[in-house]
Amino acid sequence: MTSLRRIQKELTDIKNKPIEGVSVEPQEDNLFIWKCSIKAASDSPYKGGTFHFKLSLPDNFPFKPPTVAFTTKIYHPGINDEGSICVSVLRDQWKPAISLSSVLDIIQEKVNHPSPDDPYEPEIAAQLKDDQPRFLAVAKEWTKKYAS
Amino acid sequence: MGTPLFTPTTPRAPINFSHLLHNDSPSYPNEDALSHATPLRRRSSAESSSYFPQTEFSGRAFGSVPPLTPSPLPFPVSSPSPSGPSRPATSGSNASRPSASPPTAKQLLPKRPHSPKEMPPPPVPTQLSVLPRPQSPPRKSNIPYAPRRRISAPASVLKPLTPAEIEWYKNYPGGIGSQVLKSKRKRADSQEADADGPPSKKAKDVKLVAEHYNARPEVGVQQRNESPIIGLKNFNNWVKSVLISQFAHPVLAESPNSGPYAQTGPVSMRARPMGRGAGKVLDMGCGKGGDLTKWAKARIKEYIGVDIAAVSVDQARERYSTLRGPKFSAAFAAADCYTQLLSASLPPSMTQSILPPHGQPFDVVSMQFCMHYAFESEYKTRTMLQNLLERLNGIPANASELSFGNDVYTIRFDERVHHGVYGHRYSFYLKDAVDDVPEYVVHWDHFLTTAAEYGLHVKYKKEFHQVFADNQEHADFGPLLQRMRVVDGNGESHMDEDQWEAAIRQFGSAMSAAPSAQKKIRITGMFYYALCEGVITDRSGPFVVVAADGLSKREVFRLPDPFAVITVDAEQTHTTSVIKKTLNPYWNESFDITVKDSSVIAVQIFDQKKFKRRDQGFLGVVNVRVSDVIDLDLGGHEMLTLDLKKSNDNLVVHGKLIIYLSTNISQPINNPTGSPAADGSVVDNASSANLAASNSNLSRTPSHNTGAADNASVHVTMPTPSATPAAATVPSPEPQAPISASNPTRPVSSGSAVSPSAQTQAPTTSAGANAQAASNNNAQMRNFNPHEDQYGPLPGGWERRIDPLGRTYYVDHNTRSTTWNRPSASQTVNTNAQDGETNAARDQHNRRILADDMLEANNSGNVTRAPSTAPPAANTAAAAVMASGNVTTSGAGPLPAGWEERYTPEGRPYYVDHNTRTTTWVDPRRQTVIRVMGPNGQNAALQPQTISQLGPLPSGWEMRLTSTARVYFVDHNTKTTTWDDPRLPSTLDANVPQYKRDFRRKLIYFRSQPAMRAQPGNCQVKVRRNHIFEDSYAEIMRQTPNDLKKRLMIKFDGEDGLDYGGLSREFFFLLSHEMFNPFYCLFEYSAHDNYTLQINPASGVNPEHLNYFKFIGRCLGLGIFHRRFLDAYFITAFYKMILKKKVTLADLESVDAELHRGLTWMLDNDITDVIDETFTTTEERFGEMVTVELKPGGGDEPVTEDNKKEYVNCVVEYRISKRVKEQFDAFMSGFSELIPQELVNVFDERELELLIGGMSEIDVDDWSKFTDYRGYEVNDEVIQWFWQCIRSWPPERKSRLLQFATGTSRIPVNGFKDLQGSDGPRRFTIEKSGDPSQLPKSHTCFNRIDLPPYKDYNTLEQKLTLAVEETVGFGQE
Repeated sequence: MTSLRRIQKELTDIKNKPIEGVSVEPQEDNLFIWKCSIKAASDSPYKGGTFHFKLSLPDNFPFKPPTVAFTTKIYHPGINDEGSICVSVLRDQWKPAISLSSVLDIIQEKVNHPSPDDPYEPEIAAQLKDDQPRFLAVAKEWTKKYAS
Repeated sequence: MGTPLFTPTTPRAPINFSHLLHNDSPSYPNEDALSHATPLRRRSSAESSSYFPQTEFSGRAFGSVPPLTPSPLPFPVSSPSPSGPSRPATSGSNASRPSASPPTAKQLLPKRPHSPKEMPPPPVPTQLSVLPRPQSPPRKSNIPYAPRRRISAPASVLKPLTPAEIEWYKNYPGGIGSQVLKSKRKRADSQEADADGPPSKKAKDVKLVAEHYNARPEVGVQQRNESPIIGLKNFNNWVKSVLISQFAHPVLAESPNSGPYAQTGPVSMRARPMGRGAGKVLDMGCGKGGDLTKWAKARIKEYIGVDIAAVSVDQARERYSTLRGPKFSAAFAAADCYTQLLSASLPPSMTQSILPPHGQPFDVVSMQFCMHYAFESEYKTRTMLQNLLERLNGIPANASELSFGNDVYTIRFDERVHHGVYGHRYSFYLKDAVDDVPEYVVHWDHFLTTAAEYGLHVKYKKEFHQVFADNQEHADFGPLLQRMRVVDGNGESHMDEDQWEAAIRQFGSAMSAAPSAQKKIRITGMFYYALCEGVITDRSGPFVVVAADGLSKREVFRLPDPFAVITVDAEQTHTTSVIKKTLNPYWNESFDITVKDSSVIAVQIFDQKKFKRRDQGFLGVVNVRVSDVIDLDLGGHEMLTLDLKKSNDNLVVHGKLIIYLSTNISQPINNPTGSPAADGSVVDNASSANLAASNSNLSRTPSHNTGAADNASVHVTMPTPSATPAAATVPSPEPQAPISASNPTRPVSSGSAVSPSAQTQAPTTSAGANAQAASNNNAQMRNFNPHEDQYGPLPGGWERRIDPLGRTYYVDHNTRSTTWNRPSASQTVNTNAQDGETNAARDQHNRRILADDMLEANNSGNVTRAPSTAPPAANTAAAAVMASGNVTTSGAGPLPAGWEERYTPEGRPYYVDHNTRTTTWVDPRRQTVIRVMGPNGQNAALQPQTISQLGPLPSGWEMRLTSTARVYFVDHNTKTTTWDDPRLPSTLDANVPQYKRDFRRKLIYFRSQPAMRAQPGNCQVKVRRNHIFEDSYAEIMRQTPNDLKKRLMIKFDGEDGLDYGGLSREFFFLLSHEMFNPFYCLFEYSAHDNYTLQINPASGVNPEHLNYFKFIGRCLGLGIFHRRFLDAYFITAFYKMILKKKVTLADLESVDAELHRGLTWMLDNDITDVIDETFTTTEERFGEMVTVELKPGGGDEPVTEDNKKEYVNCVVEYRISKRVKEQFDAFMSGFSELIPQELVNVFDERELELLIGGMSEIDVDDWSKFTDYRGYEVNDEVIQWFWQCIRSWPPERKSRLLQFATGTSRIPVNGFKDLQGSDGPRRFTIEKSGDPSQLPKSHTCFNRIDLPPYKDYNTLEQKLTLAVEETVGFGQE
């Protein structure tokens, strides 16, 4: 099974060179599903929170991008209620040459640094833009409630 | 590489496919019967219609005037007045045609005695019962899985005794076989003795039973699941479970024999009251312990299993020891409960617990599937009952567990007539379970009486299928059906039809075997005997002897068991017996059949062993048209030796079949004289003819024209000759020449009446034979010879004949033409009248043609009813055209045999080749005309090859005419044109017209092809609106492709209305919504929110899916053929696959945009160290990751920068076509039955979509309103030009632009605002992209066009047109 070879290679790469704040554990019976979590950076609005998400690799990986779904609720303009994250590299910017390690990097960056641009949740994005303190408060509250 | 196709919610097939198919199964092998139907035929008038250009007249003309037969040149009908008063009004014009539908299931099978009425009244269950009656479960009125009709041949179930088997029985150590064979009478006499004591000789049967079951190993659950009758076994198991739950549980619940678990254990079955339970069970036929689990579920306390077979008992014991779950105490013993009292036969250790003084009485005595063994004798029955009684809990009425039944594969009765109550023995064979074990018919009434003597009363007696019907919806038992794998998740049974039959047959059997017998006998066995009896007794005299020789052998080690099914016009069906294990069966059976001249006798040979499987077991077919072999009026007999032919499947058949037909002289014709010759005579036998596979060579031994005098089917009434006597005016060339030069494939008739004439009674026209014919006809015609009638003699050279429908017509040997009208003496009058009629008809048609002038070029033949009477004026006009065209100048001399010259309304001559049923502009006498007339007009005739003999153009080619009527050729494959006929070696080309895609021209060409012409007659399809899919399936699959080419007449059940187009439009609309509904798993949407269809690779969840794909293929073909549109749009690749075009990466875009992007990236970038792949792909199948090699050894071949192109091709091919190859091939097999590949190939994939899905006027306002722009603004000049340009386009090009941009011409129901891309709603988008020198590009998955900023309108129009017209799909520029 050839996509597995690439997946295993990616996994080894990540194991050998772990990303700080990101943990990766493939599902026992299925290498195509990775259980990942991000520990929010200390300078992020979500500090103290651990956010779990599932990274699913399509069967014709790497020709198709992986999909990511957060299982931990997060008050984030780029992550919607269903846990989908808006990252272009997982969509039309995907290229088979992109390593999963860099995908995780991008996700981590996105989580730690919410930006109002290109939002998934326009209301949160608007709040972040217009009323940052309120946004930070809610983000903190949610982090406490769901992610710690 | 798959999108998540196998989503967890794979929809269940909502219809019972297997059941659907049952309706159709048997006719399947014969599907093409008609296409083979006339091995001996000559062209009949009806048949020739397909290439007679006068299609408009077909209804009337064909079949109305028979052609002059032995002439090799079929005479065009010389224009009989369509509604002339003199036309004998008999049946419709189609009546002479043989019924075209193949025999349906019903027809294939002999009538079986229908039995329910003979069923003994069911015993009154309630009043004697002590226990409360079990609540009767909701009844279902119909039996869900019962095939509506009987499927398999009667003989397929019964296994007659082979001599070897008889020997075996004779020599069986016990010697019972010999007794059976010898002493039937004796047995009847010994009935009394049997009742008195343990019979010694019968004990040997017991031994046999015991030995049989001892010999059967316990195979374990795993292997059991592989049993071929696992479905049946599961079903039986379920029935037993139901019985145990329904009747044993309540008894057990009230048992005083409370067991240890009764209070503690969880109660698993709802049927059992909480906290109660336990009880004692005696199983008098425990077998291998198959019911132990069921009893465990009933939470019994004690179980005693007794069986006659010691080995079985041991296995039961073992099974008990490994039983999981709550246990009960159990003891097993091998004993014969029917000959000995249990108290006496059980080992002492067990008697203690059994006998009432010591142990407690039993609550339940179970005798599942074994009671009938007791019915060998009254003694046994009584012993059984006594055992039963003694063991029961004192209350006799508790005999609730007397559930019977078994399932039969074969039942063989020792005697046909059974004697007395007992000992009606049959031997029983159940595949994989029971091998020819002697069993006994349970005489139910007697059993009841006897049981009553012992105080036992019946509580419940039901046939198995009744049990099924009653309980399948039950809250507990319904789900149990699935758990026990009786049915699968779709509610479909795993039993094939034979197993069902075995299960259901219990009903019928009881009835006809012995009116009062119990359900154990399956009628199937009886059918066989009944059939033979019926055949033998009904027969009187004449013979159809059937023997086959050298049947094809399908398997290496096995010989078939052939039997023959004789069908006449798909109506009368007779079946021969089965001859075992031979390739040279000799049946020598006779059947009376009723035929008429046009009848087709089909004899199909099947292998009985395999017949039950759909279209398997087919060993060949012969079809004989009666008129080809025997003259019904003259009588006689024929022995025919015919080559077996294959049916529609491609299995090889070979071998010969000998049949003997003869008219039944001894028997008077039963048919009323009202319709004299039409359906009169009886054929029975014949003489022999050797029919070669090509259905024309007939060598025959002489036949005898006997008994003409007493033939009753004489046509007496003469049509009144009218005031408009007509005669043919065709001045034919030398009358005799064509005959002698006749088509080499047809034997020239040797003078006399022997000639195998197709449709006429008078079998000859050759001058020398006239005398002979005259004498024959003399006999037929009572007092008149063919040259005179009651009005006096006919004019010279005229002859009077009678067509197969008994109508009189007249043959003019002078002009070699025929007419309905009695000729008058004056030839000129005839001529004038004829001309008048012809002209009127022509005028009528000219009007039609004018209105329809799009089709003029190729349908021109429609105009001339009697082509050879074309006015000279037209001829001259034609000549003028010819002169300028330099192409089809008339040749000199007579036309070759089978050819005819005709004229278009414009007067242009064309040529009809009746041999190949084609038309051509090219005079066959002119050889290599086209080559000769090179561009410079130089004569360079190099080859004396006749153009017309070159056959059809290659696939994808079309022949066109320039404005000067010069022929040139269009190759749609390469989009090039040439003067050169592609069938000839090429010469230099110059000034050929530029290739121009022209859908309209292609359509005209396509429609004009002979293969696309409707056949005469009607194709009736009757469906219920609510069951349109299954009904259509049955209707369309039962018809031959040829039938389907007849005028389509759709009828919706219960609705009035004739199909003048509206109904069939509605039909295709509804049907396409059904059959492409992804719910059925056959097709799926190519992507989320995208409604283009593709084959569902997982369609195999429906085991019959391939038949459905074939059906869908037929439906598509049917729609195209009958110019109806389906409301269905497929992915572009699907159309390309139909056109046998290679699918490319670009085709993937609209199907799987992500994969397309990934693969495109791969091609555009260096993949070294990035892609670590092999030539494999991974896909999920039902939750499992499966790796598929893209090519042999692909798993070991890494993908590198060098071979990545190949890899991409492999992936694309796999993703689009390879993984659905099976389905697609099945689809195509149906499609190409109606639409020949080479014809459809003139289209490209976009045109094909329009052909299938139709074309609609596109609302450009709506389109532009819901268009997004990227880089442009609405008011930009380029955008304005763009819409201006589109508005100016014809509808087809608009559709094409839409296809170019979105991949399909489909417009959402709500208009462009709902346009969907492959990833959700995507409005049509125009993006500013590219250089003005480039063509526009499209991205079908985003519904986007990349439109460069062109400088002016003309450039835009030119580029856009070019892109839309010439590029097919993105990435092909």
